[in-house]
Amino acid sequence: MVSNGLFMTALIATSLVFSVFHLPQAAPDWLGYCRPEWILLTLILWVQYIPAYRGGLFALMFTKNASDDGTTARRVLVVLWGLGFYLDTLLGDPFGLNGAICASIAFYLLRFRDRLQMQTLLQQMIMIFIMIFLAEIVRTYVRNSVTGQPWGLQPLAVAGSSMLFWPLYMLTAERMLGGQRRT
Amino acid sequence: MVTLLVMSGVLVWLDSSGRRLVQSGSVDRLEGTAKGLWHIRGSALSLVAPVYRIAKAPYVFYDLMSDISSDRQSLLQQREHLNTRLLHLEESQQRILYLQAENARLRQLLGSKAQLPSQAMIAEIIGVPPDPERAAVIIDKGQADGVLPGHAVVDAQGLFGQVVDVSNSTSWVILITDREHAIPARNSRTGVRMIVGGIGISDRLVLEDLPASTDLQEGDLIETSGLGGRFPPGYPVGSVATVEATQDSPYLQASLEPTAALLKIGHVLVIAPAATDNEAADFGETALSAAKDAG
Repeated sequence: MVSNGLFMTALIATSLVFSVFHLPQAAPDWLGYCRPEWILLTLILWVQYIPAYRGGLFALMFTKNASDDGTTARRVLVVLWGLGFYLDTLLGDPFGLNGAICASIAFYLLRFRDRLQMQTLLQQMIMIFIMIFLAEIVRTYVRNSVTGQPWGLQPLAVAGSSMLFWPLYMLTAERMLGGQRRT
Repeated sequence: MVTLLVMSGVLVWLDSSGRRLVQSGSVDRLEGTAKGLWHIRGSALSLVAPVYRIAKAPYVFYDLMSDISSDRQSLLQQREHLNTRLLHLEESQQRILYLQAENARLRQLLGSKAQLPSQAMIAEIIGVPPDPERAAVIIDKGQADGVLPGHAVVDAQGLFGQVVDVSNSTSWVILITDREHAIPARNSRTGVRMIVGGIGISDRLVLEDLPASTDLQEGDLIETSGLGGRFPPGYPVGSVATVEATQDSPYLQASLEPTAALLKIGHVLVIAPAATDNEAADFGETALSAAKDAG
């Protein structure tokens, strides 16, 4: 069994690398549009399992020996919003865009956490599709406004591929953590 | 949450307007928060470079393995080919140095403003942003190496792009095929000036607003004109692939095939804008003495 904090840190680093990994020249162009949103998948995984990952880099986000009055959620949102600056630079997006996307998704997941705990895998996949589709719509809208990037099927393709990868991603993560369940 | 979203919206707006100014070559007009954000992006670029380097590692490893597994015969053939190429290039270099020196002297006699590119610097492409809709690369040279926004980037075949964001050790380069990119150019056969624009497709450029009466043929080489001072003149941009005139439009519909190898991951040259008169005169003298030394 891997240490929680170490595992999550490694997962975040891997998702960052996967999100900028470029395909070989021989790969067909359409494959580039189907890249899963690795960073958002990792974010969703982390927020859903958040009580299990209090160690390491994430220790600062949690209040110690105190009843959680919403401080934890607020800290998580602010930290994710700050992390968005790094993602903006990594992906070449305007500052603020990825922070808003990450914080919004985390807000939704934290707000309805108890309800989401009871979802089946299929329901989770549908939820992933909707969240990432909306995130990609916002991203494409901003890029369209800023750089004139045209609307296309990319939001749909990215959301679809992310949804299909989710079971594999989540089950692998659970296995790496020795079958630890969400709490 | 609402506060974060409002702050995000304001930041997106400020950063977008700042980046538009940078890409249009007006870095000096940046002020206030937009300038601060531009500096923050420059600093943050250094932090994201390791991620791009790791993402490129499998390809570097593959190249290394290919080199190791090459047999002796193919290496000897490669060396022979490179030696021959080097001889041809050295011969061309001698003629170019002589012509540059002569050109500089003639311009001095005519009192014409000299236009010579300053030093070129080799840079390695360390990353490609993942979005297929955007044409950009990240190179391993930055402000510490003298790279500044607006510097032109070329490869062995032709014009590659221009630097838009700079950190201390890396730079963000948009390619000539990017939707937001346009180049003042001219037809090398006729000398007619034109604007070449990107459309977001890696093997296609378009000639914008070219009157239907323009003398343009398929296969014509389009090169940079040097107008605007951003791109040095004479670098190949692309060859005309299609020319179509319709009765409905007063403009030609023409497309180019870029000469630069835009999809390859390798090395490029970063070129500073044209030198000043004095620098050009010095460059002419240096080139002349080098040509004399070379015989």
